[in-house]
Amino acid sequence: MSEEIYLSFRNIRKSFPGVIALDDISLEIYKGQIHALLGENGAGKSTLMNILYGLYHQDSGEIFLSGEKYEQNTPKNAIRHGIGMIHQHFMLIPNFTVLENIILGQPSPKPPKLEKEYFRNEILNVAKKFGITVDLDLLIEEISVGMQQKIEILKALYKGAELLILDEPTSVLTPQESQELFKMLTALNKKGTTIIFISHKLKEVMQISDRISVLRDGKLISTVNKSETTPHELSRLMVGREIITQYSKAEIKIGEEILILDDITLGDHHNQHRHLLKNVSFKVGQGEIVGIAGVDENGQKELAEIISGLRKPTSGKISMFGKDVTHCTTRQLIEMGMSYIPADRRNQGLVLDFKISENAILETHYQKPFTRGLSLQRKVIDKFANELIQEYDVRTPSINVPVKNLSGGNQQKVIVGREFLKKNHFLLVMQPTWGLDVGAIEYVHKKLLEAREKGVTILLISTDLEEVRKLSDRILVIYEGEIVGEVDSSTDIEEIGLLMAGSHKH
Amino acid sequence: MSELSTTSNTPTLIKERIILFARKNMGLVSTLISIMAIGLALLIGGILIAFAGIDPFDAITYLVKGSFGNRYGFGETLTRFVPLLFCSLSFAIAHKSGFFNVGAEGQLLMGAVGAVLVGAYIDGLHPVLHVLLCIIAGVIFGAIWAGIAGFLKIFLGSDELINTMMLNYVAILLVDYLIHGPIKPPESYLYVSETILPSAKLPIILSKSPLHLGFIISLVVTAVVFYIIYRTPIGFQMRTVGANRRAASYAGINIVWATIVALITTGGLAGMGGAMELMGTQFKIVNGFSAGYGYDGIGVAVMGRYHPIGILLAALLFAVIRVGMGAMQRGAGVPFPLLNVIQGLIIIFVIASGYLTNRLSETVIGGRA
Repeated sequence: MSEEIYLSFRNIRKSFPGVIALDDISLEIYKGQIHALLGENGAGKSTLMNILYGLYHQDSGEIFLSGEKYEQNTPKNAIRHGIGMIHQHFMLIPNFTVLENIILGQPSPKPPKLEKEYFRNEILNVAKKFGITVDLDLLIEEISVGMQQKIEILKALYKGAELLILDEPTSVLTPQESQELFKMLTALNKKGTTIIFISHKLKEVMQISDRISVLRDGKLISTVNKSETTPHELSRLMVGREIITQYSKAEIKIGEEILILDDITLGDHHNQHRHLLKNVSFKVGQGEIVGIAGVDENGQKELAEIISGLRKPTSGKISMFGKDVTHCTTRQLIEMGMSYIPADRRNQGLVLDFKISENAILETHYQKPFTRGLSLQRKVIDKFANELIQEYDVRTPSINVPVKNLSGGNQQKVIVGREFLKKNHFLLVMQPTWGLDVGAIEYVHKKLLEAREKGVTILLISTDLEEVRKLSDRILVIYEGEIVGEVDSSTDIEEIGLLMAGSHKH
Repeated sequence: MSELSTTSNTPTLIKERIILFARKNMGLVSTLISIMAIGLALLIGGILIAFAGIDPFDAITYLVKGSFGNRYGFGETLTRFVPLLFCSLSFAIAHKSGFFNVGAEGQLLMGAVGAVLVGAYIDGLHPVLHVLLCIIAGVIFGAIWAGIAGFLKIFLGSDELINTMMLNYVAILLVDYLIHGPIKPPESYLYVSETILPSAKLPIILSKSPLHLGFIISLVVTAVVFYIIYRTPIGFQMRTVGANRRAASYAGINIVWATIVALITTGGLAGMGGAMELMGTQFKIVNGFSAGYGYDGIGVAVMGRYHPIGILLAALLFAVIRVGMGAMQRGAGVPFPLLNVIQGLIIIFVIASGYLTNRLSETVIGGRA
C-alpha cells in the first residue's frame, strides 16, 4: 500500500451561528486507501466533506490535493479534480432512466442532439472496467435502493472520480445490500480509487476501512490504522465514554394479551392477485417486546398502518386492550393508550416547519392541560416542551426552533419524548434508530427497555436485525406480507437472516 | 480563502452581534425591508412618471393627499380596506390549512347575494338583529360556495385551485342573471339588485366620510381569526393538516373535519367581506360589484406573509394604492396604464423583499448543528 498523501486538510474551521461545526481539523488521506470518518451525528463528518465538495466554505484553513493547494472549492471544481460525492439522499430523478440520470448535465458531443447511444457505450465501458453490472434502460423508480446507490457511484466514476466520498451509505440499505456495497467498494479500491467513508456504524467501519478518523463535537479525536484498534476503543473515542453493547434485560412476567391480530389480510388495489399482508396473526402480551424482523418492503409499513388505525385491513380482526379495534380511528387508539413512533420521522412523525413545542403536542394538543376552554395554553405547552428537551436531551437553542433545523437524532428524541411523556400502554415502534448515531441509539434502546420494565407492551418493527435481537423477547419474521417464523432472541443471526430472505419457501 | 482567514476576532463579533440583533428583532427588520421596498418602487415609479412629462412630486402628493390628506379620502381608503382584508384573511386561513382558495372573488359575490336577500326582503327587524342576520347570510353563502370546491376535493380528490377559480366565473354570471331578473326591483330600468333596507345598513363611524362600522368589525374578525389559527385546538389541527397532512393523520387528527372547518372559514370570511361591502358601501349589487377584491386579497395575503400584522399593513397599502392612484389620475393626470405599472412595481418589490427576509431569517435562525 502506497503511503502517498492524496488529500490533506489543514486547520479547517467552520462555524454556523451558535455552533462550531469544525474546530481546527487537520487530517491526511492517503492515496488508494479506504478512509473512514467515524463519529456521532453532528460530529462534523459531513460538514468536513461538504467543504471539500464545495457545498460549504471553511471559515479558515486550507485544503491540499495531491500536494497542491486546492482553492475555490465548488462542486463543479471538485468534479473536475476527480472528487465524487454520494450523498445520503440520492440525487436521482425517479422517472428518468438510469442512462438519462447518469448523463444529466453532461455536454453532448453533437448538440443539440442528445446522443444517448454515444453515452451508453462510454458508460458501459466504465461499468465494465469497474466490474459493475447495470441495466441502463430501467427507470430509477423501478430499481431497488441498493441499485440506485450503485448508479450514484457509477455516475461519479463516469465523471472521472478518483476520490469517492460516501456519506452514510448504508443507512438506506438492507444488511445484504450493505454487504454488496462493501464488496463493490473493495473492488473499486483495488483498482485505485481512494474512498472516504462517512459512518457512525462501528462494525462496517471495522469491516472495510484501512484508516479511521474519529470526530466528536467538531474536533478530530484521533486517527488510527484499523489493524491497530478495536471496536471497543473506537466506540469509546467516538462517544467519549464507555458504551454498552449488551443490554441486561430485567425478568418480566408477561401479562395478559394486549394486542391480538387475527388473520389480517390486506389486498393490493393495484393488483388483485397480490396481497400486501396475508393471514397475519400474532399476539403480544403485556410487558413484552415483540420484534418484527424482515427486509424492508415486506409489508412492515402496511402492518404498522393497520395496527395504528391509519388503514383498514381487507379482512381480519384486531383487538387491543381486550377490545375489538378493527374499526377504530387513530385518535381513538391514541386515547386508549397507543403510542406510535413511525419509521419516517421527517414525513410521518413530525411537522418539520413547526416549532419543537408544537410538535411536542401534536397528538395531545386538545387535551388538558394543553387546552383549557377554547384556548391552547401556551405557557403550559412551553413548560412541557422545555421539560421534554431537558429530559430527553434534545440539543437545541430553544423550543421555538423549527424541528427541521434539528439533526436527525434530535428530531427522533423529540418524537420519543413526546410518545413517552404521554400516557401509554402499548407502543408501536418502527425503525426507531434509523440513521441515528451510537449514543442516540443506545439512548432510544434504553428508553424502550425502561418502558418495558414499567409494563408497557411494545411491538418493534425494524429492519435492523441486531436491534431486534438486542431488544425483543420474541422475534417474528415477516416475508412478503406473511409471518414466516417465530424465533427467540438467542437464535443465530444467520438463521433469522435466512428466514428474512424467504428460505422457508422452496 | 485568504481574505477569509484574515478575519480576526473583532469583526466576527460585530457580525455575530448583528445576527443576534436580527434574530431578536426579525419582525422589525422585515418591516424595515418592506418599507424600503415600497420606497424603491415609488422611486422607480416617480422616474417613470417624470418620463411621462408629469412632475413626480406633484403626483406623489396627490397619492398621499388623496388617500390620507383629507377626511373623505382617509375614510374612503379605510372603506376599501375592509373587503380587501376579508379576502386576504380568507386566502391566508385556507393557505395555512393546505387549501388553495383562489375563489374569494366568487365567494364574496355570493356573500353579497346572501346579504341582499336578507337585507332587502326581510322587513320589520331591529337594526342590530337585521345587520347580524345579513352578515350571517353572507357567511353562509360564501361558505357554501367554497364548500362546493371543498367537497369536490375531499370526496373526489379534484384540484381546488381550478374549481375555486371556475366557481368565480359561475358566481359572476349567476349574479349577472340575478340582477337581470329575480332580484331586480320591478320598477327599475337599470340592471341592479333591490336596495337593502335602512335597518340593514351599517352605520357611518366617521362623519363626512364613507367609513362605516365594517371597518371595526374587520379588525375584530382579524383578531379572532388569528386567535383561532394560533391559539385553539382546531386552528392547530388546521395548521398541522396544512403543513404536513401525513403527520397530521399519524397524530390522529381528523383531516376531513379540519378541512371542512377551514372551508367554512375561508368561504365565510370572503362572504362576510361581500356582506360588509354591500351593507356599508354599495347597498345594492351592481354589475362589477367587486373591484377584484378577491384577487387582490391573494396579493395582500402573500405580501403580508400570512401574518396578522403583515396582512393588516398590506391591506392598508393596497387600499392606499387603489384610492391614491385614483387621486393621482384625477389630480396630476397620470395615465391609467402607468398607474397599473406602479402598482405592479410595488407588489413585485414587496414580495421580492419577502424572499430577501426569508433568506435573511434562514441565515440568522438556521444553522444546523
